[in-house]
Amino acid sequence: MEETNNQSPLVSAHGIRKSFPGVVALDGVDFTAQASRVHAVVGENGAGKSTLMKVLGGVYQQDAGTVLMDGNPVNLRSPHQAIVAGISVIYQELDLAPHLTAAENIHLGREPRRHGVLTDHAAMSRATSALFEEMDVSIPADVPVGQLSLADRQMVEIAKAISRKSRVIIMDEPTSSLTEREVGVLYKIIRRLREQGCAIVYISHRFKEIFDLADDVTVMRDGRVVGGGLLRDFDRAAIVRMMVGRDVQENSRRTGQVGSEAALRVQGLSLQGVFNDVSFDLHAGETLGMCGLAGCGREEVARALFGLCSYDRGSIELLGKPLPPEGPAAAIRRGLGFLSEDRRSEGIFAQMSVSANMTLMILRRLAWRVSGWLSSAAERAVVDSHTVSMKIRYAFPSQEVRLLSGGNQQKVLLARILATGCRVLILCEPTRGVDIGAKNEIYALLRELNRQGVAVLLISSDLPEVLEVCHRAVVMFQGRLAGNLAREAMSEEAIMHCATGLAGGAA
Amino acid sequence: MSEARFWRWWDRYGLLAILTFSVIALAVTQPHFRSWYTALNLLSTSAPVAIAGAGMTLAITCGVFDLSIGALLALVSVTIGVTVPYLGFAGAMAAGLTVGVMAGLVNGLIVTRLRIQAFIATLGTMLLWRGLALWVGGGKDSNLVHVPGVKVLSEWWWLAFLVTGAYGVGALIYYRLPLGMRLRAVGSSASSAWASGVNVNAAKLFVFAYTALMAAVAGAVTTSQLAIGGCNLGVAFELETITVVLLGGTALRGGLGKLGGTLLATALLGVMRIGLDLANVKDEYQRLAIGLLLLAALALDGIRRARKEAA
Repeated sequence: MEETNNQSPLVSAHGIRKSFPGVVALDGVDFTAQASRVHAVVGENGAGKSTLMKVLGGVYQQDAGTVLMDGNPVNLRSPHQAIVAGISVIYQELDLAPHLTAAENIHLGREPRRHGVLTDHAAMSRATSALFEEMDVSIPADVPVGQLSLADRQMVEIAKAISRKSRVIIMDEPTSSLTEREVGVLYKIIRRLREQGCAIVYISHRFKEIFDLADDVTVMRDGRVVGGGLLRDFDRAAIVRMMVGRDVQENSRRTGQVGSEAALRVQGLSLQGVFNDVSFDLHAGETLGMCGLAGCGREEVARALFGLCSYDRGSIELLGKPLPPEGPAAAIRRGLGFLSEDRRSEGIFAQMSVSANMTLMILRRLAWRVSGWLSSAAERAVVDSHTVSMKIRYAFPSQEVRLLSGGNQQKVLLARILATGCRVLILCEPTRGVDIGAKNEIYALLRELNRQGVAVLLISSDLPEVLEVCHRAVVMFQGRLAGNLAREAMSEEAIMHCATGLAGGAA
Repeated sequence: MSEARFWRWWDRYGLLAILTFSVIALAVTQPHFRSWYTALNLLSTSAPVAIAGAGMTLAITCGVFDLSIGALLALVSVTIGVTVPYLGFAGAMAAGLTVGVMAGLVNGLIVTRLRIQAFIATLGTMLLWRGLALWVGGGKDSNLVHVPGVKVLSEWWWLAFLVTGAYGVGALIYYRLPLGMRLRAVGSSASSAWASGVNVNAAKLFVFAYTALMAAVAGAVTTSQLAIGGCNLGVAFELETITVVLLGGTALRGGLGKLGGTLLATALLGVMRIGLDLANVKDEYQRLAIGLLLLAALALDGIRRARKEAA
């Protein structure tokens, strides 16, 4: 493959400037992407990657600067104009119409027609099935996407961009909800698109993917481009250094003391057709990883523990007392905290302030004893202490939470849960879509919590993460526990071995 | 039959089953019910709501509301009453429909340009249209009995034609035109529709104009039936229309419309009214019964969703 940089760029942006109230998101950014190349864009939370992509996708309009396609200026005032210009974006927040089928979502806005007027539903389904087959995924084309799994929805989103035959395809964290197999599928798709002459812009926090796929790299920090070029000229440490502007020590693998008493004891938990006979102990001061492929039932187990869904049989014991299935409020009262994998619909209240989001669960504690009115001083104290201890970045406490970057939103959520003083935490994909800086801060937080005796059940698809922060891991396969791996036995291979049903349980 | 299968059956045929049951029960118990007159009565009392419901179904599917259609019905009626001496009956009808579409465009522009929520915007224009109707009509109804041909729209074949037309066009839009898919997409997730290149404002503008047009047709029918240009017509008409749309199974939050459901629900309410009238049930009890029916239908849906989530 040609590996020169003197090709003419397919799309380029010059001097892009974009500010939001109180923040300069992009400060004179230059960016070019060339045909037949994969261009990785990396940077921390709030570095401006997503903002830049939204400018290229027509979602935001830049305050200054120009975007060129094939050297000609283009005016991208709406996503529609970007699509017409040949730029498709796969956004980080899944954005599909839940009531529409996969076929309808993929063809929305450019529906195939019969006689020039009628929607050609048959052609739409056919094209979608063919596309899925070509992508090597099996997703029903005619089921409302609201009924599909998160991973399938992500693939539909990718299919949508491919089917537009755009020349520039921007992928913002496309693998955040995919399993290993689907990531492999995506690799194949990306390589094929590159052969076909597309420019692919790939945003990811996962270095493995970047080094597997990319030809070029651009590093952003604080709304500026701080470096970049041919990826082969850089190594991981060099990129991380540019991202954070200093040397970071990668976290060492953990050891540490674990309490002997079970903080959470699960016995024979079953829900017909979903999970079966799940038993494990979670000790005080321990982080237990829960692994498995999509559909293995681990999210459902986690939800059942917190009382978000029911179970048929089995028992749950929390801090030595039985935990009856009375719903989340009861679980919280008894000292259990839960972080959903779906930050947008089960986590943040996007239009509410940072401080309201943090203190939501402890309002009673913040109220004056007699009047019951909220004490703003007490509220402020809680917000400030968590902001400092967790390094949460926002402009002011009454800022709407939706204006924060993904990593900071996640920290606000964690602060909300920790404010309740819970002793057992269930975290589902806590670092999904979070950059490496914030990720390490979350890991450090988990370690600190363990030191304080808090038990953490970590449901994660990110195997290096499990290896890094967990004392032990249980692995699920088809609704059953297929493995219980001690610290020494944990490796990506061992976990995948159990997760694919190859091992009978190495307890 | 398993529970899931029962609900699937219920989704498709539940309303039809209740309607059939009601008709049979009334036919058996009320001798007067068994006549062609009943069918004609049902058609003429239900046609305005049925026609407006066809429009409102699309509006709610698209994630918007139109509370102003009752007042619009009066405004259209007054317009017809005022213009009929100059334009003749057909001309006055055309004027009425034009006013209707314009009013819908105004609603749409308020929502899309001024970015006011549909609920509030149409609450405002509801007062506006009613005020206009009273002002133009001078506060009183104009008698149209002597206008030649005024009763034509109250003939059963015209009513049947208009109702069929309203649902035929509605179904064409909803199921067969790309526009219908876009309306559903906007109602399902406006941001996603926009990111896919759909012109969300155009979709909303269309749906307001279309809903208003259907309401205007309902206004023309009512005007013809009563032979008056009435500035006090259509009070609570919008609520009755929204009732049948929701009873028919259209999702209040948008994305999923049930045109057939709206038609069946209108028929069901009509049949119930006729039946209760024949049984000499007083109006206040009739309202009570209809209120309970709506609550029961929505409660059933709620219970079911709760069970599904628990499962």
